Amino acid sequence: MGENWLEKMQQEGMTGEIMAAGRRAERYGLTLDRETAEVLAAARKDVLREQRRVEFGAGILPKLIYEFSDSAYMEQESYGETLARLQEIFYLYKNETNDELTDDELLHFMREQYENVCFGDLDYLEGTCLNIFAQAVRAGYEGYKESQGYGEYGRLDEVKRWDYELYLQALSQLF
Amino acid sequence: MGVTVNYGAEELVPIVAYLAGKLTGGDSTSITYEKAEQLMQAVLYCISEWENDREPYDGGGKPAAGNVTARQAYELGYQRVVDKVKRALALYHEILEDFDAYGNRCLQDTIIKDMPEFFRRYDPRFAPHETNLILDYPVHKEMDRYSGVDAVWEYLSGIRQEQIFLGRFDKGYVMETLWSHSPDYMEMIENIADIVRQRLFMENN
Repeated sequence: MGENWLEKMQQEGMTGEIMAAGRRAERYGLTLDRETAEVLAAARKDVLREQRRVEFGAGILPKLIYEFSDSAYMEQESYGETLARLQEIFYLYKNETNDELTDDELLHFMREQYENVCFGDLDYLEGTCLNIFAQAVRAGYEGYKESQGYGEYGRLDEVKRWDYELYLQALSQLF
Repeated sequence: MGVTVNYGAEELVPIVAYLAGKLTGGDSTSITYEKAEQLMQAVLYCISEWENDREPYDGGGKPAAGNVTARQAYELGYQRVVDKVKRALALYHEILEDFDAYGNRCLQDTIIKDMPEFFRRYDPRFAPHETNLILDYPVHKEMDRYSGVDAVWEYLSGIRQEQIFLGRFDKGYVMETLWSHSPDYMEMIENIADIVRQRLFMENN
């Protein structure tokens, strides 16, 4: 049938769904206008084609918007750009983990790392956290199934990281 | 086997989307191109099964193609595939009752060792077109045009015909014929019935 039918399988008119999801993020001070939603919908088509994936139903963007809407590192001025980049990273790592993870498991992992390890750095999220995690999954690691993608990086991370609570406690004792 | 009714992509794609949803259990909103192509093959295979149905399935004959949606054709074809697997398994058990490989390892392994793997692994929903089996022992049939459960059904039908034919002769006669053809007949990959037929032809001419 050729690959044309695969592109036809991509639903058109996702802008409405994206804007509806964006409205839920408004309580956190983030707004998604129609223009940005259209850019995100177009970016979705491009990245799906690049990653050779087909999406059905409402797609991942509404869930992604919801998952990251209360992040301390989401800013209005880069909101659209950040969402587009997260979407790209999501599809890349669905492939890199050989579709072993459900959407929720991957989203939970991404969100937790973005917040607590990467501190909003998308390059670090893509190039380090997810890279290490994907290698572990490909090697047969399945711990994420029980944890739903939460608290996974600590088991795989080679870097000794700041314990933020301990730091605050030490700081309070100094002053 | 090919689909002759002209269902367009707009009718087939929703069926692929349906299968993708079933495959992922709703846990994933996307699949790879490769997986989507596999599912499209699954849809086309089942529709083709429905089209090629020569026996009335529902007791009232097959509805005219123009009156059946792609989805209906798919579901009817899928049911045909499921039924065909059951019939193939019944045929396999029938063959096993009096099966004799006459010492030929290829025939023995293909029927006794390999064939159960087909029934264990066959996926009528997501990969009905895949045979997942190398049918090493050659039967007296052109097998290239078949795939999935059709290939196994045709193959087992061929094996049954052979076994019935060979069963008409004294086992010693068959073994002696095979040994005369080649002392290494136990390891050869040739059709046993053809060798016996050749001898009969020579004896009668």
